[in-house]
Amino acid sequence: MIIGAGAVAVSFSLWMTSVGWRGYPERSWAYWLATPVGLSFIAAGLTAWWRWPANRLGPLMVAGGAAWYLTSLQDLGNPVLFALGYWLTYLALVVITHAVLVYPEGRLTRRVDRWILIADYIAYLVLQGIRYFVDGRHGPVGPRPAPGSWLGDLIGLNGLLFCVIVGGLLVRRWLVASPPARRVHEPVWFGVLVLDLVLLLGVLASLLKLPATLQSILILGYGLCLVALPFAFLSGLIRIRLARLRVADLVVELERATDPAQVRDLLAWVLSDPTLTVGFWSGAEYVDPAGRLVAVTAPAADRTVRRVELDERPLAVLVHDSALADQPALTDAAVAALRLALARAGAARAALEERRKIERNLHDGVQQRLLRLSWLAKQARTIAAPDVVPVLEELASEARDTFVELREVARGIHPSLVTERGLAEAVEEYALRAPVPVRVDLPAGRYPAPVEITAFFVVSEAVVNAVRHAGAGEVSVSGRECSGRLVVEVSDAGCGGADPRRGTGLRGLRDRVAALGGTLTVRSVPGQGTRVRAELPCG
Amino acid sequence: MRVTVAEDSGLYRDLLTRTLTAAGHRVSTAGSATELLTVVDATRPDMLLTDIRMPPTYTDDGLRAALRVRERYPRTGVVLLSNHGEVSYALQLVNTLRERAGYLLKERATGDRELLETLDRVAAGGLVIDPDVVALLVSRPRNDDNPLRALTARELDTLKLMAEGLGNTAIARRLRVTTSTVEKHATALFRKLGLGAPAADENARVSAVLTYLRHSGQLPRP
Repeated sequence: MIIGAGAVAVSFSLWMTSVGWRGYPERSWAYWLATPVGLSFIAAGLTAWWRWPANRLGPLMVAGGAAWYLTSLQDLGNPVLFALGYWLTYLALVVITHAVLVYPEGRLTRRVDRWILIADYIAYLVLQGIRYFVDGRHGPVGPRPAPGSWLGDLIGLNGLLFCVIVGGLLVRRWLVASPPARRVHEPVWFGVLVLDLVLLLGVLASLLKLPATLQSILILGYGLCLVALPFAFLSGLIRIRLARLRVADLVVELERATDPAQVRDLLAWVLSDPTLTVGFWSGAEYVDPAGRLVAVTAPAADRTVRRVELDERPLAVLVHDSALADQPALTDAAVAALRLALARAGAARAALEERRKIERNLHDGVQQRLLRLSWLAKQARTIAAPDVVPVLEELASEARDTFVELREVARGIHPSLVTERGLAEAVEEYALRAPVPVRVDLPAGRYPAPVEITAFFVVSEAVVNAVRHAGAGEVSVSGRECSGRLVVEVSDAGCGGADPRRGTGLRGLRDRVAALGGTLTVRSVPGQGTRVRAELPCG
Repeated sequence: MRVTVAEDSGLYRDLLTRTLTAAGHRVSTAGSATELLTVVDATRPDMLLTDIRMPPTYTDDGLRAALRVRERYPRTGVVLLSNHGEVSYALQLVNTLRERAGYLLKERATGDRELLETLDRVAAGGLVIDPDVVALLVSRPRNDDNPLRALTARELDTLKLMAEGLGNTAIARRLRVTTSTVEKHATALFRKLGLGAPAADENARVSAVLTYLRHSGQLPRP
């Protein structure tokens, strides 16, 4: 379809170009200016049609481009074709106006636009039709010195009128547009307004019979504007696409974002909507990063509420400028990215919370019972028969040993000291219990709990590996904060050769780190020791 | 003496109460850090025995409450009970309170004798640190350049007992040597560790030794 239409449009244009302008003694500069206009519309139109087949803008531009050459039908020597060419000489301008009005959605969205367009078509076709019967016998019309008549001037005035109307419509669209829409549509609206202005001056210059040089300059500007306009259309469509490409950046950036305000700013950036409000589900309502309630029922007319849910569970809500409704692919992609980020953060937090709960239960339940058991055995010893005493003593010490063992298990499940005292102190405390000397040099600052806990697990797992598998005699733990990332490194001078793909320890760590949007790298060359390095986004 | 026992686990609180009551102490109890403060205000105990990890936040609420009690009632002794034996908390305790304070592992407090002895020593003005916590610090693996390597076995024993809060006489009795031998060991080990002359005050020694042990082998904090 596209190829067929394109082939027809291009061949028609080339044929017309070759036969046209016969009335001229030589092909003037006006020829070289006028010829590429239609082709440029056809080229841009075909591109738009091919990239966005559902958008009627592409076919309209192709039609407008081909119509540009209809005037040359007058030069074929056939009276019927002459009449047709005469009648449709300026049709291309009306079709281009049509394209301007359907941009960017590809259809007319407002009734007033439709009426204006219909009026434009009818007024032109009727006036030019009458003109054929009045002036047609005087010779062809077009960019050639045609004998002027009052009808020619009337058609000029008609063109002028619609110029002003369409210009007014565009200015209105600009005024009501939101910043995102403005940014995307700037080239088209600006291009059309400049064209309008040049056309206006041109018609005025012709009506007022201003000097020929001035008229030539205006015609030159008019031609240049017409050649450039199709590319303004293309650039508008491409800008919409580019905004969607930014969603790819959003996915990456959201991984790093640690606080809600950052998430909102990122989304506002991607959607180019500074008025965007993001509400996060608190369990009962939506609250924005500043803690204010976000109303989601009955939004203002120019606001659209978009819910972000996972399995029908609410995660967040976006309240954005309704102008974004004409970029559904963009908002869909942004919402999907946000859903992904929130779901993952939720899962990581839930896992952490679950571990904390298990540790608390051990602490509050079993551990206290074991202590009491040990105490009771000691109490019984004081009143028991001598031959029972050794058994009671054993019972007491068994209970105590179990308690101590359970304490280690609990510490492995959730190192409570990390959340209580921070990463540096918790690692130093851990180092005290390590079977080899561990040098610790970590920043004393506090980080978000998941970051601290994950960093701690990286350190403890790496130290265990260094001792158990690499036979390291000493381990160094160092860390620093670097452009919003906490970088923790555990290195040893052991035998090296650790393979993160083998064994579940390092792989599990990698998953945990990745869940926070960080990276874990292991460099382990046989004979040269091992270095485990985790980079965690920490706001 | 009058003792306030603060512990959120009823089972454990009950065994502490029974031990203390049996030893003739008058006991008041609290189940959370907030309740602890009210009970202390109401009963003005000589001694506070509290779990570190307690409601409302289940972190170091007990420690923070104990420090507030000491600000309000400087004569009240404080003994912290620790589930995990964190050196961090022990250090914060001795470095903040300097005297009349103790740090015990929960499993040690199930032994009547250990618990009562600790309370007595703290009531007498001493600092008491659980031997397991000290052992952790003293016996951990050391680098070649760690000064602790230069200590003799006797000096290490002396160091350990000093860190637990014992005075020279008590150390001498424990090691079955004379007090002057202990003094000689103390001087030697302080010199070897670069700590200067040992303070006569045993509480000051606890703080110095614990801080030293905690950070030995570590790069200095910026």
